[in-house]
Amino acid sequence: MAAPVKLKPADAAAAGQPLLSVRNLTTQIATETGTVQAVRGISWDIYPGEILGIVGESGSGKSVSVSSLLKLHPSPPVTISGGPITFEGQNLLELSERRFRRIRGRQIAMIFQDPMTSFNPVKTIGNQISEAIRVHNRRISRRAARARAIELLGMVGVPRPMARYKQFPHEYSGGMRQRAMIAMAMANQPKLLIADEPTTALDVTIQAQVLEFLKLAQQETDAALILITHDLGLIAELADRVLVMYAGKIVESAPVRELFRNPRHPYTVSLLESLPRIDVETEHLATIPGSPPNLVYPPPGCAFHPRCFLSHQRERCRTEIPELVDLEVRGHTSACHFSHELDSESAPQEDDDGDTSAVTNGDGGTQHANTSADSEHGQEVDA
Amino acid sequence: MVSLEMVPDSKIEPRPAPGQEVLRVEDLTVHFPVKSTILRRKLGEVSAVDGVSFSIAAGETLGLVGESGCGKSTTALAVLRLVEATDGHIFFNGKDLRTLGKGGLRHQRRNMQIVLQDPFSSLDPRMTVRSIVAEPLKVHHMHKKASDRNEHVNELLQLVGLDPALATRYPHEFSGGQRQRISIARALALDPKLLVLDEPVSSLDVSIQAQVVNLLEELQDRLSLAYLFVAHDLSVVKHICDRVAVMYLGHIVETGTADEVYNSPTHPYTQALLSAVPVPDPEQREHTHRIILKGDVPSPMDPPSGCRFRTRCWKAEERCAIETPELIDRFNHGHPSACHFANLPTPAPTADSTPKGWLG
Repeated sequence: MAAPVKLKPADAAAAGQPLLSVRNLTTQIATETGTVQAVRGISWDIYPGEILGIVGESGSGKSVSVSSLLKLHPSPPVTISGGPITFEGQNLLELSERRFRRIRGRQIAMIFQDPMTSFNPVKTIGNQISEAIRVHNRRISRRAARARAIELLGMVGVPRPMARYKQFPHEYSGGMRQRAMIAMAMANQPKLLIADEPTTALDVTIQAQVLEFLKLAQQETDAALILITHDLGLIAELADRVLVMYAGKIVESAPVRELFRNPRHPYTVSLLESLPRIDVETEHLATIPGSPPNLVYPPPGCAFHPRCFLSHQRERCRTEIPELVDLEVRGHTSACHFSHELDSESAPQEDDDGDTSAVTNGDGGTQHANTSADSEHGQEVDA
Repeated sequence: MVSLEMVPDSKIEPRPAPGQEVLRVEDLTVHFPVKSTILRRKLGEVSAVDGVSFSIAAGETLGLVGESGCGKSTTALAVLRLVEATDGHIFFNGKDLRTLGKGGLRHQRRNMQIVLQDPFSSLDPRMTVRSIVAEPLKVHHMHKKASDRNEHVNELLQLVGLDPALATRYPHEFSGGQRQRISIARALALDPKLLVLDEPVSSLDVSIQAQVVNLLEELQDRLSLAYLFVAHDLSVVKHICDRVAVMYLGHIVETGTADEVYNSPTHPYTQALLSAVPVPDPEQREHTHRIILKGDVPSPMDPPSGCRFRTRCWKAEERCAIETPELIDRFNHGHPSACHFANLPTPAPTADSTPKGWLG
């Protein structure tokens, strides 16, 4: 196979048009206890050939923000508003279901977290891949689709693809199922691949295998890839550019090296410091006090302020919602009123910040639990 | 500072001094029969754990690491006799747990407790926090008066960083991290000497995980607890463990202090495992030498002959299929490894800052 020529993300950006452009996307989910504001007005772009990482903790809206693009949720209870979401010149939100189906699975393909539940258990893996090919291309014969599916299975390293073609999902191991999933996603040469926690269910040595094939698939098809994960390690290994999400909003976005070298949102800083690392010795992990907010009643102002080490009870954090603003480095934006206080490159105080947050948390979980309990009360009062 | 002085003196056993051996496991073997669905005929055996030995001292953390199906959780459960071992010895407080009867076992179980992975299913949803934490105290008749027991529960909740005022609530009202604190409070109620932690932070988000990891470390310092820490996350294990045992298909393939195992792994499996961990540093992207293993873990119903890792090992030769490698110290540095071709890594796969194996 020929060495793939891949545009560097910066070049791609310079080369012009984003492949997919999301503006002011809002997703709400109606539940018994109230309307969850899962995604609260986010805007981002992805360029051809780029790997965009979206990182955040459970409930940050990272998965919903992307799966709502594909209209994968029933409505009601899920309502999507805002927009436009432009993919190759068309607004996805205005497309009819029929036209949408031509894009979903063909131009935009998705790899889900759990390969056990995302395959149909009563059909063979091979059939499901051929079906994915034939649904989008009626002119291809059964035989040709079968040959293509076998070729794809071989490409993602499934051993003896001819025999494996006829097997059912339960006969595959977890790692192999996930690779078959990648094969299926690649089948129609999509322009955009979305991988939602593609290796979270896998063991670390199997994860390494799957990632190799994911990278290969991305290079082979020269597709853009959205990688949704909670694992900052994966982001550091794969992504070109990163969006950090918290409480349904993007709090920071930057090229990957810039983000890890010079994080400029207190949430990102805390997240990186709370990570136990295999490559660095850490005596005491920094913690983020409390727990993420209930998105039925998101905190007023900056959603992170009740847990923030930088806020110092400042009025502005509680009252004014911070917008994503451009920082000095091109492509680096942060949604914090006081992001300049974190600039490690002009004022090397990052270590001090780290220490203070470690010290405030030093004498135990007592404070955190109380804080979080308090903030729960707080929310009830607000409600 | 909170202490556990609420436990009546008559019930308390002397706390072992730090460094004193609390648990010693010798040749632990657990086989599960595989039966046919209808006639229940025995079809074969899964050898989940096969001849595992280790010991833990007070105030020390031993990490058991490995991938799904390697037998790490089964080992942890067998230590507490929550699953019955097929063979071997489990010495706890100097007594072989496998020879104890029901009463004797119950008496010993007071000193060894478990925290499970999923704080959503390991807490009874119909019990309040107070009754969950008080349950072990009732079972072991620790207090005559209910007021004493309540006070003890309050102390335990404070110890794990929860407000005692929340004791009347139910588990569903708490977040994942708080629930794990409740599980820890329950495990500490009887003032145990050994805590088995089976993936205690795996289901938690990073920011919450750090809170629980720090709590576990503080409790260990304060109470000189011995921890058997079972986890698949190698970064967490490195952070929290003093010593590490790496398992593969029911065997320990390498063991040593965390520093030795992480900085100079000698078994090919350990080397591959460590190299596969994604490092949260984009600058290291080009410098990591990732070892990608072929294929999947073989079925423990039919493990490979000789060395169990040989089917995925790039070093395997004929000898590996015939002769099972022993877990012995091959480089005279107190860090045994079960591979005929064990070597010190040439390029340290994880960190540039660490010395690259002091023999190489």
